[in-house]
Amino acid sequence: MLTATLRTAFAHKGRLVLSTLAVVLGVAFVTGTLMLTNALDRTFVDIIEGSAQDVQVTREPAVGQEITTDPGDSAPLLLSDDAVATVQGVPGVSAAAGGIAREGVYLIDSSGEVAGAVGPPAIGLNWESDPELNTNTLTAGRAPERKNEVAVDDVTFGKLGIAIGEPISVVTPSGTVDAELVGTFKFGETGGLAGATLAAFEPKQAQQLLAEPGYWTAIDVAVADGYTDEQVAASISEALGDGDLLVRTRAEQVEQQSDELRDGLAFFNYIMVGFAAIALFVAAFLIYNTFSILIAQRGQELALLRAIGATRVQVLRSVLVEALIVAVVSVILGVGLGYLLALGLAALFDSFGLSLTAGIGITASAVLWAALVGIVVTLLAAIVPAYRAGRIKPVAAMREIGASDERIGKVRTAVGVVFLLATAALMATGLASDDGGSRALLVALGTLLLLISVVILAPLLSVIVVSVIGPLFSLLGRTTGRLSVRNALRSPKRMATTASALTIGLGLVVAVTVITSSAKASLGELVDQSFGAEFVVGTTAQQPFSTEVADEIRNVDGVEYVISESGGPVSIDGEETGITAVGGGPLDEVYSVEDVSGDFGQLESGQAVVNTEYAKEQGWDLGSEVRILFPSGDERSFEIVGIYASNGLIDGLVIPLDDYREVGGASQDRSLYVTLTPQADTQQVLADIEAVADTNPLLQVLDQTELKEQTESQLNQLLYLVYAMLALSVVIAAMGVVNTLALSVIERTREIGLLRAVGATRRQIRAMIRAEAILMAVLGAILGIAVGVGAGLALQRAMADAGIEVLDIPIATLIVILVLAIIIGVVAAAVPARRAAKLDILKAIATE
Amino acid sequence: MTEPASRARQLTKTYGSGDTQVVALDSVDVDINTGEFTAVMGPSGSGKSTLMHCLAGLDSITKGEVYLGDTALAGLNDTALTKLRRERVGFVFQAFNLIPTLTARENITLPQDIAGHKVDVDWLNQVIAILDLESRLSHKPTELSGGQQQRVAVARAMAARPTVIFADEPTGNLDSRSGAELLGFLRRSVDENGQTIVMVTHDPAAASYADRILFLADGRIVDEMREPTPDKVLNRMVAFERLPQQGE
Ligand SMILES: Nc1ncnc2c1ncn2[C@@H]1O[C@H](COP(=O)(O)OP(=O)(O)OP(=O)(O)O)[C@@H](O)[C@H]1O
Ligand SMILES: [Mg+2]
Repeated sequence: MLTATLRTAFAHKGRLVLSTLAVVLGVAFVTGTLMLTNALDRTFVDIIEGSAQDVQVTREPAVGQEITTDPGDSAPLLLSDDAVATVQGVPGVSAAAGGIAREGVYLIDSSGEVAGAVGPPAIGLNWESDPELNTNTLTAGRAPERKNEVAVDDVTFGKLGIAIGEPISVVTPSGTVDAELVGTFKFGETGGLAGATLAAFEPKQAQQLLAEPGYWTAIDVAVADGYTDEQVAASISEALGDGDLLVRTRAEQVEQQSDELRDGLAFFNYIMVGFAAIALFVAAFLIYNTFSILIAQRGQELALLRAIGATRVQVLRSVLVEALIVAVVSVILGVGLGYLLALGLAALFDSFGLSLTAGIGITASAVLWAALVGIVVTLLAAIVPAYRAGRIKPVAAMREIGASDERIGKVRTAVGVVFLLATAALMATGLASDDGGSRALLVALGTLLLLISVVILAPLLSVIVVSVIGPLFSLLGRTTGRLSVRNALRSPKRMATTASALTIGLGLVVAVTVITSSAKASLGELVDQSFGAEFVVGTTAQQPFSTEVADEIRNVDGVEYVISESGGPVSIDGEETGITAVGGGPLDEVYSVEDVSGDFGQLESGQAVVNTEYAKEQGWDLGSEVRILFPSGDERSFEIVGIYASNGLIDGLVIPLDDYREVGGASQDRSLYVTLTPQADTQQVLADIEAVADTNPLLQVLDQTELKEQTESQLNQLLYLVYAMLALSVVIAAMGVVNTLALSVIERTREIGLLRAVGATRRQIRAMIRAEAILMAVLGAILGIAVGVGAGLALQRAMADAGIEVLDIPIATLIVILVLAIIIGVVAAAVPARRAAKLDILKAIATE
Repeated sequence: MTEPASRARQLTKTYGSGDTQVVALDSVDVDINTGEFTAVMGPSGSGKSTLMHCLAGLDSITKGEVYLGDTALAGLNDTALTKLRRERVGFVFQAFNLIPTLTARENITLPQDIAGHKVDVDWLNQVIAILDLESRLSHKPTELSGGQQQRVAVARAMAARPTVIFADEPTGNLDSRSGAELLGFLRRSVDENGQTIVMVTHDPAAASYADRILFLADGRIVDEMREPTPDKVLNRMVAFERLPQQGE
């Protein structure tokens, strides 16, 4: 029996090619992602280990997470020279010194641009002269010794185009420094920085630019021989006697930072694996179809096997073994392709400046996952056809198998309807929910359920849709069109499976498109109606910049207010939450809000405004006192002076920026809103503001239209990324169309021969196959659009509070998707149609 | 006499080459007379089907000439041959004559539909009436008996008023009653409408419906008989000392 199976699999290998390819692509996506994240993980862990100290002391924030390098929003949490002296006196400490590391220090290259990638941090630090404590090694030139000298890491140096001894501009939180490049150094063990840039100053200047004179962001400690890190850490804690300080050993630093990193990578992994899962799910349809068709074609052969004594289980097993062969081949090829994919992505990352120094490797876990996923998906997809094969009765061997007009099971329809009702119930519950988070979650789950319902109901829906759009196909030629439609309808399940594979990918594409264009429309409307600033000054990737910029713009003639917005984590009544801090002018200058009670204008020190919902939730009213605990450990009271209805521009508790700064918040700005005096000359003001912004190459000045364009293009980038991810499943689904057609051409050899004999030209045969392909693809697209628009609509409703208030269904995109489906159909039909047209008439009609 | 509906001159057809070469037809000269019912008989493998395929433009020829009416088939490309088939040739095969997704009526008008030609409704109704298919027109092939299916195939062949209808063992899969019925219809269409028919058969009784029988052996026409009766045919076959093996 096994030899028979192997022989059959081998004889039909051509028919299994596309199924294998589909699984290969899915597996490659999974393994490629895993190998890439593994390389990312190792690269970052190398960085973490390379910069770890035997023991390190940092200040723990009162609210929110401890962060290694401060992102530049809040003022750094500092440790004094006294603390350093205390640590130096602890027994077992061989060396201790204050250290500084802070984000937002940008090196300007020879062309005036910021060196390094957008995304990875740009870090400023102090050059530590004690080699025992310095994790960096000088590689060229010398260390920075005096004011306005800077050394950079050698990876960044390679991109600067500035030689040692030449001047270099460094943008810091305290303004731009014109420095001299005096040397380069290697970071940690490997020198890898994954795109981050390092700029080192002598300690005094580092303090002045990045902290405060006499203060540090950390104390680095080297442990003397004969002591363990743990012992020394314990002694230091005791000596410092300050519960707000964190004292961590090397192992603890590495562990904590790797954990943070892995959380981030895991998120990336989930997203990628999610897309891979969609692709594999689609591939499963293809496999299911292939085996169903193969078994239909081999019905007589299998029945014969049963007639001569093969048991039901043997037949079932033979099909599963065939599937297993497909799976194993796919996994092997998939791992290879995944490796290439990971290499390609690593090269792409490299070209963005994020070099993966750890390199891509074929890891055991990637191979195991590939094997698991590939084999499980293939076998699961083949199990139903295999079961059906087992049920073929021996007498079927004696019967002529005609074109079976299969019926759509009542049970299937019933199950589908139940699913659809469940979907509706879930969506309704979701939309009715008060909580924004659970609303979005329920509706997202509803979307998945909707997809599944449509897949279950697909045969029925296919028949309905094809009956409606079928007549259009007679435009292609009456008979050709009619034959295509009939052929498609001949096996609604097969057509439905093929089409619904496409429905999944396209449905998600449409849903994401609807949500994105609704977001764009909402944003545009919000900016038009509620945003009062003439210009916005900021950076593309929301990098922080010096507050000096705001001060200088304020001095520009014709500028009325420069309003700055910031925010961060705080704690209110023991509960962690986020607040917004606004300063530089009255709130209503830039934000127009509705339903205001009390004031919504200039916030004085100690005053706050809050949105209606949050106020209700907390039981606050006008005049209520709110106590807020800030990350620095300061606690302050604010009086509610206004209650407003939130919109996409402003939400939650808003306090004055000056107060926030006093407690260590918003040491830098991320974006500035500029309003003008009525008599200002807009063009002149713009030119003057641009002159100010020119001091920092990251800064750009946008008017309202440009602001909208920029956010739109950012949303578009996100959208294109999602498109790219979903493209794989659409490609696999298109392969499914090819697969179904190719197999049914084989199945219909005699029929096609007969058509040719009675006078159908090759061109007509090609047209017929092509029309079938287009029909299936368009069917998939129509169902996809229906699902996508439905889901997109529900998601938009669910996120109306979160700023997506306007529903925008992008008709143009939907038309593009339909056209795309037609193109997919035409392309998918190319090979099967050519084959069908080339069939030798006599061979085709010769009785087998 | 009018010109032959179909004729072959020195028609040779070989398959393969070298050691494995098979000569299926060996310098055959034949005229298929217009308005006549011609039967082709001969042992299995004698080249009957091959002759029909060559005459009908379904298969290429190795040597010689083939004409349909006065059109030489040798020079025609695939599209021209296809056009010729759908306009001037009708086919009835032994089995699998119909497209399963189309109804009987759609199957009958298939060649005209493919060609985009208008169907001659009067003629169509006449054909349908002759073949007694009125009540079966909206059925799919799977809902028809074998005999009905073959009648639909004959109707399709006749609907285009082809120069020649070629039928390869059209009764091969039918019981004797349905077979006789079908042959009766073929005979009537020759007598009443002057249709030219060429039919391959193994059955002396079936052959006796024809006006003329061509006997084929080893790719040559070895004999011919006019006004056959089953007995005469049987005797002739015995005379060849080679009873044909029945069936496929
Ligand atoms: N495609 C082919 N390739 C090779 N040889 C062929 C091919 N088709 C037919 N032949 C050979 O040509 C010869 C004539 O075949 P043909 O089918 O015409 O016989 P036939 O008289 O119709 O037989 P039957 O009564 O069994 O249908 C046979 O020897 C056959 O083996
Ligand atoms: Mg034959």
